[in-house]
Amino acid sequence: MKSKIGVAAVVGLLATALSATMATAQCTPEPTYPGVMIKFDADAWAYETAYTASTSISAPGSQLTVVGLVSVFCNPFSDLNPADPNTEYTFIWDGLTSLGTVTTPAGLSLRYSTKYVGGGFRIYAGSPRNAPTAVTLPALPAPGVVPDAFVDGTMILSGAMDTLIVLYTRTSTGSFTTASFRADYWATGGTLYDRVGDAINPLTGAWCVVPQSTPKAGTCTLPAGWSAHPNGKWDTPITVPAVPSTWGKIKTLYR
Amino acid sequence: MKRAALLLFLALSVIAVPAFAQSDVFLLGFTGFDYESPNLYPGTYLAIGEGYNTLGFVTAFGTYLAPYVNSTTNEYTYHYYDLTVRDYYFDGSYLEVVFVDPGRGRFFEDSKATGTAALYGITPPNATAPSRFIDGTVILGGRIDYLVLSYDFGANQGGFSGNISFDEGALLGQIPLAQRNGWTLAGLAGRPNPSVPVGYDHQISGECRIPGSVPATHRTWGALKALYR
Repeated sequence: MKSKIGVAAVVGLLATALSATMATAQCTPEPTYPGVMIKFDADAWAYETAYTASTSISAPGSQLTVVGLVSVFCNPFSDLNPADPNTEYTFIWDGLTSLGTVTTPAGLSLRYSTKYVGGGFRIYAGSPRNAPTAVTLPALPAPGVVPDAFVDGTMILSGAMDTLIVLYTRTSTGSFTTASFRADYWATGGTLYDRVGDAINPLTGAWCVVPQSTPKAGTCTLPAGWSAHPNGKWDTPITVPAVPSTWGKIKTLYR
Repeated sequence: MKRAALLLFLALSVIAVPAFAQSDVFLLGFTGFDYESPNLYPGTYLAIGEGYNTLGFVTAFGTYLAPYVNSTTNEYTYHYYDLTVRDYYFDGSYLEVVFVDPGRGRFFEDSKATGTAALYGITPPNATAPSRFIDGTVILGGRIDYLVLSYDFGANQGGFSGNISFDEGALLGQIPLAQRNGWTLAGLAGRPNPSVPVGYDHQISGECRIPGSVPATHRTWGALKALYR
């Protein structure tokens, strides 16, 4: 009896300790190409003030917020370790106002397009590690946790976005969903701003919406109150060379 | 003493339990690029009969695989292939294609000390892609079915999703049998995009997800006590 409980307790604590995703430093852009700068994977989620999950519709005026944890740092932030047990790198996108979801039939599928304007982002280095992960994500509202645990610490980078476009399609083939987000960003501040400057660059990735009813490929089941799970990255500014480059090589990228 | 020990066990179990019973969980995440091969009709993107490939690097592992990988000593890559376009829809700005079943997806581990560093190069397939992304040990692999890809040429973005059923690899045993039929999804970001090398089409950011574990069911106190007799 005692040994069984002891083993169960150890297993339970071990599962808790392994609940965070492991960051891997896979930063090998093709020479002369900028590549990924900051990536997020399992631990990023979106919520809105006026979003209906059963229809996947964002109402005009809805305020979108995205919070998450960084999973990979690449050039020029390769010296930062997202798996550091004493430092947690979190981020928030906010100030994003929805212009309303527009649906458009496309063959036998239905396309959903939502534009969000006025947004910005901030990335923090904080301690201790206190933000929820995919395993411990609470339902909303979560006062004192969301977004609080994602905006504590030192702000290492902040910036603005142009229009964030979120697209998803419910297809006729088994009702699978394909979804993506894209915006251009530029840095405006933070203690590490000088590493990137204010060049405009893509912020893109997958946008995994919560299912309208039953889970399907391309959807992500989340606790109540969340609307989507993004998986994506900030790209390195073209003005920050991943490897030594020349002005002539950079110009050829835009011909 | 037994009662105190049991109450301690229950308390610790509550701490270890996730915030909610997950019906799908993150398995791994990746980033890379995609390209057509064979590209039978260069003037048409993903025409019927053409092949779709994507490859790149695994950027994160979830709780099922994290204890068994080491990014300090190894490079982790992925490759989706044998995906041939079966159905094609294009209305002038929006593309949607469906692929023949099955395609294949594999994830690899390659020693940084003794293996070959993966390089995208340009105009794949080339001397390093996909060859340097598919050497090393297959840690996970599976058939891909019902893969659908959509792309909005006006917004320069799109995505794909489909089922991936894991059936091979050194880490297959770390995924319970009942949870091996998962799905994969990704966002596509095309030009203008300075990160996309010549000959590739889109930048990829995506992941694989699998069904969650069977959620706990209600039990009586008598049934719980019976476990420890």
